[in-house]
Amino acid sequence: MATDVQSSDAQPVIDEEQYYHDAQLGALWTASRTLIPVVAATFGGIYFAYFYLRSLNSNGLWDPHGATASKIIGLSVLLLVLAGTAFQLMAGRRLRRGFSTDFIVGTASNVLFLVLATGLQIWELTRLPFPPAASGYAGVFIAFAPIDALVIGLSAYWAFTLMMRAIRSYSFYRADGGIGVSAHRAAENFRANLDGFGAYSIFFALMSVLSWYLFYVLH
Amino acid sequence: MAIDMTPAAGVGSPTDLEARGLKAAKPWFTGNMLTAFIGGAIGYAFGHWLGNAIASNYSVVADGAGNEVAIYLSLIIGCLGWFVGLGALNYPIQKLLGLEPIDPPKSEKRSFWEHFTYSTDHKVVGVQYLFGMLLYFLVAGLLALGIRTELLSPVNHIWAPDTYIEIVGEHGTMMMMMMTSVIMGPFGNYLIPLMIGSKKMAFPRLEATSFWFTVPSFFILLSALWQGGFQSGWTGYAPLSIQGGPGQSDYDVAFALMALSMVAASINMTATIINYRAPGMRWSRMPILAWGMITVAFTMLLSVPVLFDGLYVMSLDRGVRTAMLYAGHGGSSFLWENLFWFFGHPEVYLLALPGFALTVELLPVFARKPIFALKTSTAGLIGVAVLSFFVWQHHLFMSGMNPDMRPLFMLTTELISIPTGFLYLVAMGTVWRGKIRFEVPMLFLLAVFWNFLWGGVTGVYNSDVPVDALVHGSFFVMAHFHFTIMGQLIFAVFAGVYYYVPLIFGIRLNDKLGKISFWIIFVAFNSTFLPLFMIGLLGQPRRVFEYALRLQHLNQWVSVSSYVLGFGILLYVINLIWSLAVTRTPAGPNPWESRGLEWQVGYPVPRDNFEKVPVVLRDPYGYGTGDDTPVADLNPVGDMAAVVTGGDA
Amino acid sequence: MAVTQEDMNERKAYAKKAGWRIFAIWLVLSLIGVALVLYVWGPHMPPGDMTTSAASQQFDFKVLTAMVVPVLLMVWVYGAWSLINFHATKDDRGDGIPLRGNRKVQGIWYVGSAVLVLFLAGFGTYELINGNGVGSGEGPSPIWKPTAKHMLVVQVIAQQWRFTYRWPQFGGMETTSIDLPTDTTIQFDVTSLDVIHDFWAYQLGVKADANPDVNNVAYTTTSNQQGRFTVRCDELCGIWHGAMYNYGHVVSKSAFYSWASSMETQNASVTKLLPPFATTYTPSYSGAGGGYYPSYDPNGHAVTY
Repeated sequence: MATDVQSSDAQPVIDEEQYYHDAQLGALWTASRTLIPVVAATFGGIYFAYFYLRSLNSNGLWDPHGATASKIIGLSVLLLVLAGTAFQLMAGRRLRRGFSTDFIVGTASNVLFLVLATGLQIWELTRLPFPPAASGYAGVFIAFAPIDALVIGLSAYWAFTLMMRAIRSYSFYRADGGIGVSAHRAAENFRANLDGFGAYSIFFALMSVLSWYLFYVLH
Repeated sequence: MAIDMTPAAGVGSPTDLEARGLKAAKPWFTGNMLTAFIGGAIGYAFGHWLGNAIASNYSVVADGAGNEVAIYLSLIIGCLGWFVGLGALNYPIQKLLGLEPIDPPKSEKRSFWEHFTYSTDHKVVGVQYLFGMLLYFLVAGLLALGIRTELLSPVNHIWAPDTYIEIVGEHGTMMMMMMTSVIMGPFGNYLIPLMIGSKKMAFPRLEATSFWFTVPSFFILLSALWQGGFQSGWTGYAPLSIQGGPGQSDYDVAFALMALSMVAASINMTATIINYRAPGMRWSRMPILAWGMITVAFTMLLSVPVLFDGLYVMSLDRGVRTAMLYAGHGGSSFLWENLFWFFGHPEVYLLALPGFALTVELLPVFARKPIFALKTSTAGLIGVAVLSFFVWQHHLFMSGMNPDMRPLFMLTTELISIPTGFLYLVAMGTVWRGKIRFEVPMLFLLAVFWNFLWGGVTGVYNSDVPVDALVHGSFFVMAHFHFTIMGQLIFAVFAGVYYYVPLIFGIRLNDKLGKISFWIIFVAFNSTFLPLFMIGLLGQPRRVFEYALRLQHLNQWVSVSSYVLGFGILLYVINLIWSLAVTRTPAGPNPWESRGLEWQVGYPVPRDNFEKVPVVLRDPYGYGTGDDTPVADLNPVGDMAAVVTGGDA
Repeated sequence: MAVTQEDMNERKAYAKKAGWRIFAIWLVLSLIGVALVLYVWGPHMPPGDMTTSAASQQFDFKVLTAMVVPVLLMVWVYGAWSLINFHATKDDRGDGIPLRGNRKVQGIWYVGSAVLVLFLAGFGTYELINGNGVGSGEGPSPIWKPTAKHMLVVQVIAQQWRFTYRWPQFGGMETTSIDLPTDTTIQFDVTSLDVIHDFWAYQLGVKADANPDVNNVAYTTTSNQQGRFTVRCDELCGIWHGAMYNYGHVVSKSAFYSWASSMETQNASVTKLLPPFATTYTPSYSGAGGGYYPSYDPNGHAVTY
């Protein structure tokens, strides 16, 4: 880290590569953690719209007939996201014990689940039991679903890049015991990235539960 | 070695293509503004086709209400095509193949052409931003003169009423979009790595992307002018905005692109400032501009997504006929006002904060003294940023929304003048017993304090509900925010450009012309906007083309002053362009005798900013201490680490 | 660089000497400025005192200005002193004295600005509650109401791009002009039929947003002054926003009643056709809302007038 140079006491000159490598790891940490409030604020605006219109209930038209979007599809999206996150976290643990293949398989399942969830979330929009202007709920749900699909899709992209990196470097790190344990800088970089994705995934899983509760249970 | 881990493995890098003898193909494969336009045009056409394919059977579309789906899709996919053409998506696509992340290549020598490409060099991005924002500013400024021309007379009209509202909305939106980036863009990107002693930015591609969002944003917003514009002004109040034509969709997409630009820039800025500071660059030694940037970046990260949501909600109401902003179908027009101002109010502070940070940054150089109460000025920045999230409903005192909350919002709004006042304390303490040098940048800085004083005290009037019942929505408010934003931020930018041109371009602007342009700008600015307070108090609402006959003389005075102001700004810009393109008077190293780390690298700024990672020894404001040793050691050797850990504060 | 005791003494002595002079100049100018604000400009400050709310706005404006003038003068006097005394010359381009802070000065500033700001917030809140909203829009169910037993209710209906007025106490008639009686407490019920407008009766000191589907109530009490007042739309409402204004009159009570009853008879045939008086009016699904939404009601939600 920037101010922490005591550790370089042993070395007479600042090791530049190491210095910027550490900075890059820190930047990955910072960016993945700042992504959390950004995504939270994005969904927060939609949740705000939800609660605002729900409490105003203009003309009794928040959700006059208690209609929701397909509950089965909504639950499936949630379960896919939760399962994907669980697989991802387990895959990460396996990776750190040196089981790179397990990691690749786990991440691949996560990607698959997330892609499925994205597809379902979009498909749900084509099967709405109400026209867009039917009620306040209808509007807010139609606002929520594409954003949710987009964010899940981008998570899938992120997971996919991690998986591909692990596959591509598989044999390179074999001698070191896998990308999860290697002391190589590129492996450290990978793990910082993965760590950020893990933190973000946990956050997003929790938020998916909240979204599900708001749009399919509370409404 | 199974994979090539070296940076040279980058696909699509210019050197790579040249090595393969594909020099002619280079512009097409590396991406630039031209290919970006082609990509954008293809994307636009495809999006329009797609929108028509999807939505032409909708009953509203068939009824002849226009196909907003096609308009939104064409703009969004057009923007995607723009980035494909620019080559910005090459790297994200490479990552799908699992390639290791690499630092983007930097060209050995900066060329003019590079400014039209997707360059990841923070110095190029800074210059791109500088001229991009200048373009925004001049176009929007020209529109302002259009407004003032209409207001020369309450009965004779230059513009048709719809054209007038188009011009007003376009001026407001373009200015507000530009102001968000006018300091973080050019100065933040160019200077922050130099100031914190870093060779690079944390996420150079994100940084480049943040600039390239602003370009399509500009063209899309401008294109609203010949599509009927947007009648609802920059605030876009629903349901008026729901009534609007395609121009309103342009507003939505352009503003949303700017929002994405702000988020991209902010993520890069926070990650860079937190992680890339040179050894010894403690938080207590960090330049105040860097403090301003990180505060503003955090504010943006939390407020801008809400703007994005608001625009998205409006787009859905317009495009697919949801009814979130329409009470008749279960929505509420208050929803937009809340979403918009929840962003809108932090926004006006995140325009003001960088201006203050830049002002305080430059002040000690010309007062020849350390910043007075440095920690207080940092606390002021942070205090304003935090409080800015709790004041948004003061725009809605008259709206009938949550009337019982007004005392609370009155209190928070009044409270925000405490941290704002800190900056006056800092400035007044800094000039005390200094040796002020009245160079052109210093004149602009002093003007900042004169102007912002008017803006600040009239802010207290606006926050007081009984007085706001008089001034809300009138020219008084308009004059208030022109004093706080133009009088403060733009004057700070003028100072900053003048001050940093020697570092960025190695030339010095013409001082005589600079002084003349300063006095014209300063006097004309005050002569334009001070009478507007009176005009507002006497009952002229904003955004009108007809007003009381008794206010004609004041309005004419203001209009004529605004032409003089326009002339002054033109003179300043001519000075800049002329000095850059024709006279090119060399400035020499560090012409202002600044102690800042950014001036130590010399001109031209080396490709990697620093030869070695510098070690920072003290804060850059030690003027007059008699200690002439530099703030940082650019060639640290041996036991420097010990000095760092035990050095003075 | 170590600072000698001599230096410190010089700094203190100078600060004391200059400080007192700045203070004296500031004090004299402030007294003059505040007196001018209160006694010369004050009585003529907008928006006049035709009603209680206008008078409150004027009073608040006066108090704020009287507090702001010393602040402005403080910065100006101090700034002028500094610019005149602390600048470099051609021969002397050295550095200033490296002061990095002064606990006492900073402390006084923090406390002073906090006291000033808290006072202003308290004052504004008191005025707002005491003045029953001071003519501002207070939403559909105001909590700060006037105590007057009899209030004249005027409904302001805004639409692109005109104001009309309904009078529930006069048979629910709708007029295009507005007359008000002297010495009467008036309740304005402001609403809109289409987009957001704002009802700004300048001389009356009344300002309230006209939101579709929302009733926004504002109160004021007229004095014995008679005369004309201007009504303008104060929220951007489309291309003819600038032309959305009309004039009203405050007249004697008897003149008002004769105007109102003549209007009532004159409009009787039209009043019958109007929807019954309500606080808000939802445009019918026949397309009166601008034809934007489909002309059927997706939920079978009946709109009755």
